[in-house]
Amino acid sequence: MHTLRIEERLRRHNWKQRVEDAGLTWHSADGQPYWAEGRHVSLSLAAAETLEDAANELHQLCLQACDEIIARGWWDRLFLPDAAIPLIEASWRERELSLYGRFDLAWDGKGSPKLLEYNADTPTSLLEAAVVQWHWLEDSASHLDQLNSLHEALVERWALFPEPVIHFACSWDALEDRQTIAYLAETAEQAGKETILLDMSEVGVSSDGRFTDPTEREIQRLFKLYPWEWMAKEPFFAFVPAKRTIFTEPVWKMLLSNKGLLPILWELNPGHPLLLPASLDFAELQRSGISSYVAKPLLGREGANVRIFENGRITAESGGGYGEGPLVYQQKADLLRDGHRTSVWGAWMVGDQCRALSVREDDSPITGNASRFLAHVLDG
Amino acid sequence: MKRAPTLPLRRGGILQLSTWLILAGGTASLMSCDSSERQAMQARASYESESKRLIEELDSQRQQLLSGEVPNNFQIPGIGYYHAGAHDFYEHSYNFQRDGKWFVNNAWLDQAGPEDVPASRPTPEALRRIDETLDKQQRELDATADTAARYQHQAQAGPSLGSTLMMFWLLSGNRGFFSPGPGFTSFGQRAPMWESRYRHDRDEYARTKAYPGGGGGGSYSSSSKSSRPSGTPSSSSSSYSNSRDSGSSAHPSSSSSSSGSHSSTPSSRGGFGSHGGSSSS
Repeated sequence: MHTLRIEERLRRHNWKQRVEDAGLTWHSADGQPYWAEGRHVSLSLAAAETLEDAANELHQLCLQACDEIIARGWWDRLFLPDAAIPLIEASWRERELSLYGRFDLAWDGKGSPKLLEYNADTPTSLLEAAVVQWHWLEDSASHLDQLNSLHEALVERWALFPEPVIHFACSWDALEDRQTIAYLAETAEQAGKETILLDMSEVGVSSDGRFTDPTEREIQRLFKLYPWEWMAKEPFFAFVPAKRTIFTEPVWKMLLSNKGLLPILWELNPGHPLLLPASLDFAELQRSGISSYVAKPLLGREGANVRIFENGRITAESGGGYGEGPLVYQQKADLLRDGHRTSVWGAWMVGDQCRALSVREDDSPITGNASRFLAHVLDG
Repeated sequence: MKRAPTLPLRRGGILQLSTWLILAGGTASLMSCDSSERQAMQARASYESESKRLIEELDSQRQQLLSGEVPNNFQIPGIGYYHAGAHDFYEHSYNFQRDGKWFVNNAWLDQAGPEDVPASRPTPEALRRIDETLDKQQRELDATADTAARYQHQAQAGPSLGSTLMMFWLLSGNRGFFSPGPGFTSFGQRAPMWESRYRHDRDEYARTKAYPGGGGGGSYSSSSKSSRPSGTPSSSSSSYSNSRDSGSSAHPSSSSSSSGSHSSTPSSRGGFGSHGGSSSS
């Protein structure tokens, strides 16, 4: 049993400027704070290491699951497009280098943390986790510590990529995405890389099948904050096979960012303390005596189209644009609670190592796009 | 897990440049690989974003200060931080922490002061000191031979414009609560010029904010146009792009080669990015 406390602390008088200077321009939305200045999570080093160890172990379970999915041809369980399958196989076989990801974990300090999902392809809130919460610690509790070496880890990771020039692309109009790639570019430049930022629609294909930027410069490596499953439905996906290796995250990450992974993990590791029972068929959970479960789209994002069922009733649900696709059902987990508020842990992986923690808090039991970001501090 | 005392985000680095562009309302992309171009872009973006932030702050501060009341912990550069409970300005901010003590209302306490302290009106003594500071600033400016040019420069420079107007507005809001001295009286004659500059900047900000991409962002675009997925041929002779669109299919467009390992034939563009909105998870 670990004690996890959500505490109040005086807001920094210049906090808005401080977080904006760090690049977090969306600290408030619709009059509501996104960056929860004044609230933070306090936990012991032992508790932080419990989360860190859980993330590292879960990552290994996920990699083993990739082996099994490919070996057994479980493609239909992930609803992956046919065109992506040979790319995933080749990408996995060649162990293409990944950059980062974020586990979402449920943990109230009792028992083991539980995996909610793995955001392995396009995780955001990176800037908040790596920089803004660290600045908060420096300003507010500089004598204490934080499980956070995300920035250094990213710089180290970029050094493993041989290309001297890296292009970064996203949906440019999405400011959060733009700042995420700008931050990643900052870490790449600190690793000695030259960087170029652009919109996904500006990625071009030359007559001989090379990916190019608007100045016709060949793209040697493209970090795309843009989901593989979206790319797979777009015309230029036809040009990916010949240039598959230039993309980061690599295409094999499609296996991990898909919530169809959750039933597979449970099937491969039944009863594992870090996993929750999950299935593509809710009746299967019910037959196991599970009456509280969560339904979420296989390819949903930011808590969209999630429904919570308890004893046959829907007790919470969220809207969104992912309502048409297949669903995965997962046993409802105990989240960290503070009154009516609930929090989900983020465990940040760089390569194969957990390098930081973060927390998102919401007034509802579903963590969504507008859920508040809380800093954390190791105290004791 | 502690790391270096300060996270090494580079001043003027690509993240900060992106931040400045967003704060300035620009839509230019960061295609530059040329350091001199990037530096020029940084300087302009920094100026514009900082100026606009200042103007936005001034707009809200002006109304507050003209009411005569000052919010707790409000800072006027050159004067200090206002402690509303003590009705005066001090060197340290409210609840400034040092050696286990908190600075609250000009006293070092063993615990922090309450956070929600209502705004209050400064004492006549505090207002007199502000008047003296305002007077001193004007004397220093008057002592220079190029007063007019200096004023013009100061009016554009931001912080001086801000702090001087703040002092003037606060004194204006407290007429009747203190005896105006030479600072207030003298600045009253110059205030229209400063206020005019302030209004111009504020209006310019409103204009660019109303037409994103037509203001600050366009300043950086130089002669470039991004290749549009609409199929319309476009040209690119520099590293920045300023026009953005999303399309659902690939169409040919043309871009002239600039430098590096560039192709001599135009690429097709727009084959990615048709899915609008954030892709975050």
